Amino acid sequence: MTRKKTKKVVVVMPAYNAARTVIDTFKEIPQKYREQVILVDDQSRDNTVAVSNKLGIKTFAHPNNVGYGGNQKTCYWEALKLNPDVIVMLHPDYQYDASKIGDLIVPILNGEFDYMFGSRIKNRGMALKGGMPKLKYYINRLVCFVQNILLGENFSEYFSGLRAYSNRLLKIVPFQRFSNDFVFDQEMTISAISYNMRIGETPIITRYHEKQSSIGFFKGVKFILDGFGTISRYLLHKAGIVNDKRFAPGRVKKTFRLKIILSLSFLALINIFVKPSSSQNIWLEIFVFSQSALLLFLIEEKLQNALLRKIVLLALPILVSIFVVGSGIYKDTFKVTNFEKNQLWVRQELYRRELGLLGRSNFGNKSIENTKLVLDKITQKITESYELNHYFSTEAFSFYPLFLLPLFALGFLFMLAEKIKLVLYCLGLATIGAILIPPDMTYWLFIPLINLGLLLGVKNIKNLLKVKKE
Amino acid sequence: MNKFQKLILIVVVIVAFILRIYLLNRVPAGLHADEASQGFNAFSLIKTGKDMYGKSFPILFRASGSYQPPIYTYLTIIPTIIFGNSIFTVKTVSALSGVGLVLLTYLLISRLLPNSKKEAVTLGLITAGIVAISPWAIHFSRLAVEANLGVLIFVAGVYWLASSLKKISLFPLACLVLGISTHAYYSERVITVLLLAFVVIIYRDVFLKAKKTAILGLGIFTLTLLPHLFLLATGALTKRLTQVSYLGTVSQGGLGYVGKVLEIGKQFINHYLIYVSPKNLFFDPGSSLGRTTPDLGVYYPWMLIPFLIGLGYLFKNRQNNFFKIIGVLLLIAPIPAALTGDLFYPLRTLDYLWVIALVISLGCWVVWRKINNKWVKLLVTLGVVGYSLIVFGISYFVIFKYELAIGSGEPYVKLMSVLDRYRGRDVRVDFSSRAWGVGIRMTYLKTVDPRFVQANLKSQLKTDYYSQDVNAQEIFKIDNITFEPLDWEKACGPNLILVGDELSFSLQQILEHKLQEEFTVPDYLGKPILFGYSTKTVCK
Repeated sequence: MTRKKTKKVVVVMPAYNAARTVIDTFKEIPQKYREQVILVDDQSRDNTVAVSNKLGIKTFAHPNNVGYGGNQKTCYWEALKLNPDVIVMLHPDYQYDASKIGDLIVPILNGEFDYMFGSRIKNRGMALKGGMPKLKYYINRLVCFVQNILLGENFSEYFSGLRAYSNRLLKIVPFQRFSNDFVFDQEMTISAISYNMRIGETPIITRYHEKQSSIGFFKGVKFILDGFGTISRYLLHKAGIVNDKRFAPGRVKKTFRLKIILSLSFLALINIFVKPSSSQNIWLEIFVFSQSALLLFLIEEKLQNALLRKIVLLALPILVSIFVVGSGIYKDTFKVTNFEKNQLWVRQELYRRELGLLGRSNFGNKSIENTKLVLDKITQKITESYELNHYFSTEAFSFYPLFLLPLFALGFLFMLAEKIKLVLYCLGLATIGAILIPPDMTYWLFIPLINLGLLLGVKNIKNLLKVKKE
Repeated sequence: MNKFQKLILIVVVIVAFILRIYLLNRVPAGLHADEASQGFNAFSLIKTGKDMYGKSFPILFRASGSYQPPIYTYLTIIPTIIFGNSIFTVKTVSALSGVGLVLLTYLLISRLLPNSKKEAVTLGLITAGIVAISPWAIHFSRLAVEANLGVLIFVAGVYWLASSLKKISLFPLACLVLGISTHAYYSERVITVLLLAFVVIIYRDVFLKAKKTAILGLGIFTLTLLPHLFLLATGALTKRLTQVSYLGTVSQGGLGYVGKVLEIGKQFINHYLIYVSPKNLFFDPGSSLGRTTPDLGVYYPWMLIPFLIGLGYLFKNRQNNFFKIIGVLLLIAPIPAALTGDLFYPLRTLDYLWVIALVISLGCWVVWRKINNKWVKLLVTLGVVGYSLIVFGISYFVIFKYELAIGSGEPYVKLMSVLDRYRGRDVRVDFSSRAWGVGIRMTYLKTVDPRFVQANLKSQLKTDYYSQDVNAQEIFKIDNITFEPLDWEKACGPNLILVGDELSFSLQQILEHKLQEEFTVPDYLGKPILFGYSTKTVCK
């Protein structure tokens, strides 16, 4: 009980045209939390400010409309001036049960959480019973499901208009950098996640009614897309590819981003210039570049984000499959012609003569003979694609000029030393692909790996010269 | 080393021995001309102290229009004394070198690996096992080739060289053995010099601390190279290189000397690449059956994966002394072969193939360590070894003897007994480029008196014994049989027996000279290969 006396709670209400609902909302706030209530009006067209003032709420009015996010920025800015322990954000549209504020803030006051959601969707019955439209409910669920996967969280919803934050959270999370639009809430959540804030949920009743404010269809779509946009930026930030100040500073330095850009440019350059002139095919270019880039993402030590890794590991076979389908399956590999059967005949005679009964039973069986012929042809195709001379030599058919070979060798050795499983995975993928497609296309499946070898060769020259003390 | 490991080592050596000795006189069939030269020179040395040209204890043996490094021939003296002249005798040194290499590889790895003793022994056993069952190691151990002895001596040198980094007093011994290896095969002449130079430069700190020993070692090495200097002056040393290399034949491309250097550089890298190409090492059998086994590369295809893993491991641990030497060897070992113009010629690069075996073993060992269950380990090992041996067995012991038979002159070996029926008649055997070395083969197997051969061949020497210009296709004579190119102007007359292959006699010639078929000699498959005709008419 003593805690309640010492801890200060501020309720903030970002309002826009809320004159009709603000009274009900305010009255529902438990008495003990009504002392510190802030309402920020975002240039409402009704008399929200007047109603608010009448209720004795500390009211601020924007001189012009800045948006939902902009409104909240003022809310928190003003709330922080009061140095509260907990800040509760409550939509003044009477959709959320304000009497539950007590339940919402207890975990924060107890120091268990920094951020509490009032979740309307703890179970389907409650949400739909409360009047939430079915379409809205299912979209909410679907979006929440996907976002949970992307963020690695397990929330029941992301869109609630009743939330509570600790003072510490609002001082750490750079909310002033967030959007002024509806996506502000999403940014707040994702940024809090990036700062490792502890986030919890408590169930609340949904209460849909005619007076409440509602986001329009197009704005709703934009809101959801913005949400995913923010998540993508966050993942890229986490992976070190972009540096987004909305999120906790990554371990990755700015220079690393530059390196990635340089690496990608290098791959693009190699892709354009280093190949036989006969193969200027834009789809091939795109395939080789995208696969090289994917490999780069896999191999770079600083990009070892588990989710990204999984995505790339899955994307590689998909890309190879697309290439295989695009190149057309080479049926001759699996077809045995009479000519080939005749060629085998002399050897079969030898087997029969030398191995007697064993030779007769094993090599006289038609299906085994055919299998052996097909296996021979598969081996032949693999053999061809493992011919180094085809990739590096002074001959006209060679894909790369010979002087690049030492660079590739160096890069490939680094790959083997550090990422052997990955190299085997990629070689395996390329080999399977090479068996399936026409012989003249097989080399293209190995080119991305060679591109990467060249890139790593360039990057690791100085590492080679480094001498470790034994 | 515990009892179980000892048992494994014994099994590995026995397997290696069986794979190298079993049916040695029958598979591969026949006897190559070079093998026959080595055998006969050894025989001639025992009887007369001179080689077949009458040269006393040569430092390089003249044979088949070129020269053979001497050590193999000198060592063949021992089996010749024991077993007499036979196909088995001449291959004994090579086969035993192959077994020796397995054992030496085990010693080298188990004693020099930087890891714990237990791990070193395990890796040593794996490496010995890989060398024991590798197609190239078995293939060349079953041919009387100097290169197979060369690799054994060279590996012994590497063993002492690597040991000398810890115990410098072993350095002179290492230099002596490496020096001797240069007399065993051509490739070692280049590799040993490069390896020693690398090691001395990289570990100069070690050698600077013991200057006297270092100088002594290098002095011994230089001494062993002195015979080469003498041979260099005569032109005999580089005879083989000029025969097989592109160095003298590259075009200048209009750029004069610079153009030639550029072209040589280009050729060199292109040829070097052939030896590092996974295709050649693990898959492609190559076109020449004298080089590999049918349908098998120098290594089994599955070995590509441990090779890549091993390469990664080697590179990761490249700062370690032992692995550094292995890495350097991996780089320099293909150089001699890359200087020759052939597409892929494993015989010239056995040292390199041995290093590859080490890398494959490293990869196997990395995988081995990751498997925790001993039953899974056993199953995987038996599966892989079993598969390899079955594949090799079918390729080598079933198909190979048929497909190489003609190349190694097997029909000519059969011909010897056929010709016994014509003792009283003048027999002329066509000696063309298709039937290389037919004379020396029969001379060796028939144990012809060396003095007679020496007198015959000495008279045919057109240049000094050691010379850049070595005439080939000498005429051999054994009693009533003459081996010479068929000359229709001379080779006719009543009662002659003419022997040759199907290209030696055209239908027109048979009709014109009224030749009558006396006999045919079939190949392994039963197809007639050699034909014997008797002449009826006098010369036209």
